[in-house]
Amino acid sequence: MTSAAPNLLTTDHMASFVARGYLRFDGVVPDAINQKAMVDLPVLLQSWVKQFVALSAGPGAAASAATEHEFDEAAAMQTSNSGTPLYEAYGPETAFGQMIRVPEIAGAILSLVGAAPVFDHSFAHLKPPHDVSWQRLHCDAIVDPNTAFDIQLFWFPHDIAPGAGGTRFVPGSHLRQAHNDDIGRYQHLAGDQYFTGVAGTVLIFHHGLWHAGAPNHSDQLRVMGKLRINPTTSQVRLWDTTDLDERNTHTENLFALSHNRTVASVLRERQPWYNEASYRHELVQRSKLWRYLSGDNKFDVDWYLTRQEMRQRIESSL
Amino acid sequence: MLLWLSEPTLSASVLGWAFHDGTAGAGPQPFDTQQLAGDGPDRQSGAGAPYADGVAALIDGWRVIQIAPQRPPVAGSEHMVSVLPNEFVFERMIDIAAG
Repeated sequence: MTSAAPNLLTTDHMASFVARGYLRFDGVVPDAINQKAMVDLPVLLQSWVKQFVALSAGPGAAASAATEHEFDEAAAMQTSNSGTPLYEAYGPETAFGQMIRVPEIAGAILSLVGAAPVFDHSFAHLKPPHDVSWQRLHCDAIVDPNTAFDIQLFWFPHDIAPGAGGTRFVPGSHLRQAHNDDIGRYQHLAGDQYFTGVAGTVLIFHHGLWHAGAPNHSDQLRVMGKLRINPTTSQVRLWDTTDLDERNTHTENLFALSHNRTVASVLRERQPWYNEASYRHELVQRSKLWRYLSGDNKFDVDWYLTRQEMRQRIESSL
Repeated sequence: MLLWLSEPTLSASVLGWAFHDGTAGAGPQPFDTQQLAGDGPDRQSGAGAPYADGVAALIDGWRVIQIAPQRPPVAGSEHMVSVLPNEFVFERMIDIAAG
């Protein structure tokens, strides 16, 4: 899979991912790989557009287009059918393939979606200079009630200054049940972010995180490579769990007795756009996701699940 | 203008906001609409809320034309989180001829 040993995520990373719905790895992709992406990603987009146009025109046109554009073959090598094992879909000769083999990224993939992830799809998102249109807020694919999750990598192979088209995203939105662009009316939410950062930064999103393309006021083409990855095996305790047991308290309750450094203390992170009532349900949803990841079905934050489950057991015993 | 508030009452603080200019820019702007439209290059996270709460919008001349209805939790989905619940829709009439 990788030449260097992957750097597994820590319990803090995982708890933060559950609380915020994303992780951020600043400047981890080396310059040579970023430079390759600046060449390969626009070609990848061209290839996809031609494929889409040809398919839209009908079977005959598709066959014609396939023979017309020889250079597309090189770009097509960067994509695979959905369901292809990830490291087969992207060999080390491709830009995406080199990025996912960076130890920090490989370790995050291993920690979040296991040792046998598969390629879902990838896309090159290009935002021309001075294109100040803005995309409506959305989450990808369709509304998804599952606890098991996909991840999406957002790779920025060049520096992104404020206002230069860095993707907008909403921390803590990943567990909201929302369908695609049904959330498009939210022009602004307190605490939303527009990505800025150095070349080689990768954001890893939970598949449900709300996001949108942003205006590019700069003189530079904004390039971003996105890659969705599906797990095929258990996502339980795949990270460096050295400190997990001591931090994985069951009885942590802010209204009774609470402690620093517990998983619950990380999961309590509140976002500025939450109303109080929804925040409490966020804690319930985060607890359920942490139960899934930790394999500990008694885990709880602030006793919300536990008190109800105790009474449910009483009722069921009658 | 749409405001999403922290509680289902107009005196609650603003968590989110959206603005649509029915004059297409021809009329006097009630506030910094470039900021509100989301394309200000200097916009930073969460900055630029037009009002601190819903009552402040009333005082500034906005009229409430719709409040999100309150519904009881749906059985089986009581703990679900989804869209923002406390949505208030406002309008403000502006005389374009008056500039």
